[in-house]
Amino acid sequence: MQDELDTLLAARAVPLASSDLAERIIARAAMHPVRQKSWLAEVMNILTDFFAVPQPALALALTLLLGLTLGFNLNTAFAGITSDDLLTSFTAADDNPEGAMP
Amino acid sequence: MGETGHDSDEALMHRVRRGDHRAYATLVRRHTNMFFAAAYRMCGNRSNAEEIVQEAFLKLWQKPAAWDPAKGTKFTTWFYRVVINISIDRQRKEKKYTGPAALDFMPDSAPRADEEMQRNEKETIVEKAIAALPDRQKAALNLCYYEGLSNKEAADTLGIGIKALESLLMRAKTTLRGDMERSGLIMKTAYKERRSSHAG
Repeated sequence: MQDELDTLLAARAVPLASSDLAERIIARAAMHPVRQKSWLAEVMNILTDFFAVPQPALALALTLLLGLTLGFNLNTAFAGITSDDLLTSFTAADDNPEGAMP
Repeated sequence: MGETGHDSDEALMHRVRRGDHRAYATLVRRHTNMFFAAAYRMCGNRSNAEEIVQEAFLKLWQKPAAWDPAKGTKFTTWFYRVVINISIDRQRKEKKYTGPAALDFMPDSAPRADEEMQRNEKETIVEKAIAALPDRQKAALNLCYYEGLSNKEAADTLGIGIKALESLLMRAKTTLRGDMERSGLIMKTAYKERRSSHAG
């Protein structure tokens, strides 16, 4: 059931604006031309608009999550290689330099 | 210059930021009545409301960079905030409420029937009670009840959290209910409870 107060509030009326209000505003604005920005400021504006991130916090969180996922996957890809394997391959390369006589 | 009539408000604002007067005109024509109603509900006076809307739109033309697309705020949500802030500033400067302009509602030559007089009296009481609310409570009430904004949008417009908005609405309604009961426009809660217990 609708509250009596809600009914009273819903009945609140607003008069119409003057029919020429919008045109008056537009005409007044035309009398105040906007100061043109330099081409550099214009380019910076376009670039800022282009690269603007609508939700910076969300974008940062997603980037962190992506980084962690990639990092974790890389770690598991190299999981089979032990530090001993790396050392052996390194010293073997040193023992047989390219072009050396057998 | 491209088509403007079907462009979104945000697309038009990007063009206004580059000084496109045609895009500005489209925005003004599209939203003047809506923001006039918002301003009227804040100040209760037709000519003041027109001045507020005019000032808000002129500020928009002169400083379009104040709307920052990077924040992802809808144009209308942001512009409600501009209109409400101007209304509050003006009221603080005037330091008084001019009262509901009852004449705004009446056509010049309309016969004043008793019913209409009574309706205007009722409206006057409601308007006065709303006008007496603190600015932020009034703004919260107007945005949620009349402008059709969701609680989230209204909270964003006022720059507060949803809980704070709900608290403002609750306090506004409690104050209004008290005022309406005292003026006899609605039944007293205690009386209603007594009646329903008798009926039960």
